[in-house]
Amino acid sequence: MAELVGAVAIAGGGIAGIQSSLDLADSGLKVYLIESSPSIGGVMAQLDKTFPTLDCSMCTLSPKLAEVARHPNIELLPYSEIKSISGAAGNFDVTVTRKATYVDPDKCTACELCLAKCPSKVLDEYNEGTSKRKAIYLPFPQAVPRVMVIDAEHCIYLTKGKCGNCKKVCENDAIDYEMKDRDEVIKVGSVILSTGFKPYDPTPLEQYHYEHPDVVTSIEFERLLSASGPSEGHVQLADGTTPKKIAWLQCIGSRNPEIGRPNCSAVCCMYATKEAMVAMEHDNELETAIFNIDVRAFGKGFEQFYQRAKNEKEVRFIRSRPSGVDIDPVTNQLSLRYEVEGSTETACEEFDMIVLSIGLTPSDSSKKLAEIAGVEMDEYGNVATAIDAPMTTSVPGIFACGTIVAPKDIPDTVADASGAASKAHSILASERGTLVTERTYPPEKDVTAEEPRIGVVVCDCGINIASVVDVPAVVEYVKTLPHVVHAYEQTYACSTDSLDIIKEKIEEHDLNRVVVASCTPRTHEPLFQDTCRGAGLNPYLFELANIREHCAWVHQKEPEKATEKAKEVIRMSVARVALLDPLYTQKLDFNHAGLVIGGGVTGMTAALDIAEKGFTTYLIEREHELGGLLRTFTRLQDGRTTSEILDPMIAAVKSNPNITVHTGTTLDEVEGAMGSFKGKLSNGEEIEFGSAIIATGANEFVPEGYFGYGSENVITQSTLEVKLEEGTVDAKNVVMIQCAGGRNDERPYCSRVCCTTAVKNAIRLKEDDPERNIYVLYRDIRTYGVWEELYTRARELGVLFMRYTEDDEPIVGNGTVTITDKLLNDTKFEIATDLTVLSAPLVAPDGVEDTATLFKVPIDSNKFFLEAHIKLRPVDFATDGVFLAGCAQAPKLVDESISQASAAASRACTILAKDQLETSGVMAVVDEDVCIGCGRCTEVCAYSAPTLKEVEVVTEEITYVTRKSEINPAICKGCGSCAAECPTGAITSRHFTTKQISAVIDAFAYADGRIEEVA
Amino acid sequence: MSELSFFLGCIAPNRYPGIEKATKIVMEDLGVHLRELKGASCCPAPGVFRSFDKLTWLALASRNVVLSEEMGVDLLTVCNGCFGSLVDANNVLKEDLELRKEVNKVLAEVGREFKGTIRVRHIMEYLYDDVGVEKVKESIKYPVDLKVAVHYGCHLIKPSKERHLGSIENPTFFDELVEATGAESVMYKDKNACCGAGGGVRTSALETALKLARAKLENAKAAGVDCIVDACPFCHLQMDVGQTEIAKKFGDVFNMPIVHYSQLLGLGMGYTPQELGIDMNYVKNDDFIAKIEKIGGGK
Repeated sequence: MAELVGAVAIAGGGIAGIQSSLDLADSGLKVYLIESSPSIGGVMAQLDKTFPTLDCSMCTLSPKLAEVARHPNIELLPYSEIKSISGAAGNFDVTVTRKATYVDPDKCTACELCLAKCPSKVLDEYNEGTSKRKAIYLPFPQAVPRVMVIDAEHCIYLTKGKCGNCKKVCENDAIDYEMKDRDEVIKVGSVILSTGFKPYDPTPLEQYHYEHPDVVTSIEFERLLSASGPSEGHVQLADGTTPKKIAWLQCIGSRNPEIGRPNCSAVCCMYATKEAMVAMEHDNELETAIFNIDVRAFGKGFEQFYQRAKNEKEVRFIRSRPSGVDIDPVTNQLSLRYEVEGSTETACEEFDMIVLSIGLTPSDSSKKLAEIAGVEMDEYGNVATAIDAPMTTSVPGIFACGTIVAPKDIPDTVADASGAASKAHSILASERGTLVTERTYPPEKDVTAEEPRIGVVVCDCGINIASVVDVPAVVEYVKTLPHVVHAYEQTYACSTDSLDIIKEKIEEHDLNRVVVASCTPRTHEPLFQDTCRGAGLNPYLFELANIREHCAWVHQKEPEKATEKAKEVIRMSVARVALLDPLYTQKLDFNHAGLVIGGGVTGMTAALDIAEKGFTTYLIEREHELGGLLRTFTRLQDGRTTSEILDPMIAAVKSNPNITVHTGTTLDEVEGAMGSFKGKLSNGEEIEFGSAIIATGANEFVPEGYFGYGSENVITQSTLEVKLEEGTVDAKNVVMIQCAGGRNDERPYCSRVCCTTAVKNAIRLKEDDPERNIYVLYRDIRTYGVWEELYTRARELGVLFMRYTEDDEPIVGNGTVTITDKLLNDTKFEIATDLTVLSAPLVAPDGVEDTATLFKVPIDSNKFFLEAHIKLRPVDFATDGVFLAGCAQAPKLVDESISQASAAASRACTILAKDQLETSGVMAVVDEDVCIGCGRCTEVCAYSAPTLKEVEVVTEEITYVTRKSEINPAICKGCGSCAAECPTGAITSRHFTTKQISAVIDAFAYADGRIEEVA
Repeated sequence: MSELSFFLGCIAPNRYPGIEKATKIVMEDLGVHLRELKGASCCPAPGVFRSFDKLTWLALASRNVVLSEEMGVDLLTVCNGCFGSLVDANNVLKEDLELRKEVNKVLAEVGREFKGTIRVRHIMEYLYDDVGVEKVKESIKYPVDLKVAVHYGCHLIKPSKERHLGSIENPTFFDELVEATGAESVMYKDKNACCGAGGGVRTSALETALKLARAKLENAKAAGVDCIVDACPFCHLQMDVGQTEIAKKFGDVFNMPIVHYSQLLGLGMGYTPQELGIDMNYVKNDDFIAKIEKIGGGK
């Protein structure tokens, strides 16, 4: 067998590829992240807000972009495409075509001087063609890598040999018109495909008149809503006026077999609801309407979000699918004609703007890539995977995640991405750390005893700063400040040669503090800190003054004031840097074992995934048997029996030498934190572990009090499954009732799995006996994504679907079910019934509160565990080292549980795979002499870093036991909440001490360099 | 001279014989001889029969097609409904050999067999594809100076993926043929909307059907046209007879003349409204008759 290569190639730099990259890189594997466009970020970078929390999409994404950019184990290959893949699992040769950008990435500083001079205007892809960009461009302001690229197709020099403006103005000589596409071969052990989707192009559906300027796609509407979009977030019609009424049309390019796209796109109902809500927040006069077939609010918090939109925001949800958009031939006015639910009437209503909720469609590049990789595709053009191996393709060593597999939303994509990372990590576990190089630095000089000797670099940023701020004047001023021994001007402080100059200046002037006055610390601080380290200076003896965003950009019309402000900003930084202390990270040994609570399909997958990577794993299950909820069901949606996946999984868990299984056991006590947990089991055994995964699952609700449950012939879906397997269903007329005990005041959430389960069982009943009459009484059919095919099949087989509403529920009588069918003009039907099957929601099992308390992690109002961030951290808790997966987080299907299980394992292994835990230098410390043990710090800390420990205080007069705060350096993030909260001032937030902050404030107040003494 | 069999359908010969006559004379002038399709039955109506029993529909429709097969010529209809029924049946049976076997079992009882040897043609698509707009233009002796609202009708253009007649939403072939006569096709609101007759709606829910027709008439009237031009006797009946029913039911009087395309073409060729049966409509609009009598300077 060929040698294993400890590197992974990830194709596609959207949120999926980013997450896979970060997990693998954090686990010590080398990552090549290949992205076909000039920047990573994908579609998520184009979104305005995200459902259901209305978080800003870019605000949550851009820290991840920056993290990728500066991760030492990630090599970014932007503007590149995979040309071929050869080899086998563990050892692949991937040939990547690096497309010519015509800009040297090492020289370009993205100063944007070239932008102003480029005469060629092109439709901007980032804004979906709603605005123009230049032929040389930065895809979007937060782009990573932050370098310009020339669009060869539209560059006047490259197409006609004229112009050359960008080369003329570039002061760093970064433009290279001679650059050619080139192929590069990278050696990797595994490949992850995550090239995502493209939005469906609605042009062929002529009836929706996409050519009308005020008929827009949902992704165009995202750009209209976005503050960084073409109209700065003011939604406008083509004529510049503000729309008063906007309609969304759902399922454009989805659930439409006519055009070969029969499936549901899974995300459109929620994004349309979000777009309507955000648009109404922008303009409270706006009226909105969403035309839908079913509202598929199936994810965590989605149903509540939908209800809020409907009831509080008054977004109108109209259950009708207009056959087209009408345009008045004279006035060009848009209108929609639709059936009025519950009547025979049709209505015609005018709208100012119509948003087409376009579906997710496999991108051409994804199809091409799948062919290159040789992986099997399904009939819809998605990469084919199985329910029990949702990230595994037909080619060993090649994995897939995100929307290349099926339409899915961001959290499911992120979970998938971590899951795929786990799979790649498992086959390369032995090669961890082999291809990552640690940077070496010269020995650090001790500056603690020295007087501050400060050097200041004032950056022109090309003309970004220098055209507004009088930089030479600022340099002269800075030289007069206390402790400043050297100050100079630099065209681009961040270019490679400038960084070398900074090192030289540190040597030459024996500097022990450095200030760079340039741009934002968000992108540039780590770079300059690293430069300081390279010159033997502690990286914390550095300060960045932002005179670009805060001075030059916001005050460009007032250059004199901008110059004054720049002086003040630098004066404040100089005052602070003089007081900074060198800080050191600590490396701590820790326990590398993993713990998984819950022995269902989720817990077992998580345990196997951790164990495969070589770590000791404890699997704790309360019941006496492994298998969990899936044991109560008999068939999967793909027709296989559940035992077909459960039996081999249980066998694998039991036979894995790294896994210790404790069934019939509970975890009763936990103490410690990430890296050093200690737990006590109900059998008295004590275990130690570094990380834990909570996979405690869910149970089917017992629908006592709903739809006649308890009387004869009224059963739940799980009971039906058992009867089906036994062949004991003796009924000609079967009625299924959806949402039995769900989507109500007691359980306001949607249980996600019930529609798919009901449709699956309806098909089984019908296939069992085609003469059977099956009625499914529902509120919305939520067979999202590819499971729409089951819904279609059920209807083809003759299963009847009848819609009811929550305020007019079906009544289960003796041998009959009565329903008022909303789709048939409120007609009342009495259905003769032999068997009534209730689709009851999944609910959290008993005892979740205890588990939550053990690990100090939160649960939501429905008793599902609450993840750290609903979009981007679906399997993380805010508490370090503790993760969650499966139905413990919210109800979900088996493949989704498995994806999350692998994801949680991947996340846990990013910790377990480290040799030692490295603490941050910036953290809080407690002065025990001052601490009174009040515990306020433990209450405010979002990460559970402080704990109260008992200490014995010995004084001359008395010896007593008291409590003192102790902050775990492995967990502390240095946010300073505890320091601000501490009533006695016992806690100091390092790098942001009261003294350091006061100095900055004083420097702002007093121009003469005076510093008021503070306690 | 080309030859086609002429499938009359039910409404044209029984209610609007002018359409039948106009078609015969204009096609003859364009060099297309229409032969009688002896023994033809009802198409049958696509909305009704096809919706209830596929095999019955196919058997009845294919029998009509077989009659033309036996004559060895393509079949022409002047009715969207007949076209929808016959062309769909013909296509289905040409492609689905299993189904053809089933249908032929039924046809065998009357001594016939579907072989799939001919095409079913609608006068509009035949004129556009086979005769050509240019040739139609050449046949015009007296440009028809009218502003007209073109009504395509549903079965002519839908299901669009099987009709292959260009844009679903903005078809132009009918308009081009209308403008070839010298008339102006005026854009009006909801031009492609249904007349309201088909799908059994006129029979089962007359009021709903009339509401749809009324909207059609209102929109055409608002566009200031002289008449509505259709290519289907059932649409024709719905919009013509329908006007008398609308007047009775809702009190709206439109007085809108309804003209079949073969009649419009006949005017341009120099035939009188009487020869073309345009005066046989239920809606009596003497001003319109007077106006079209003057086409070509009264000849």
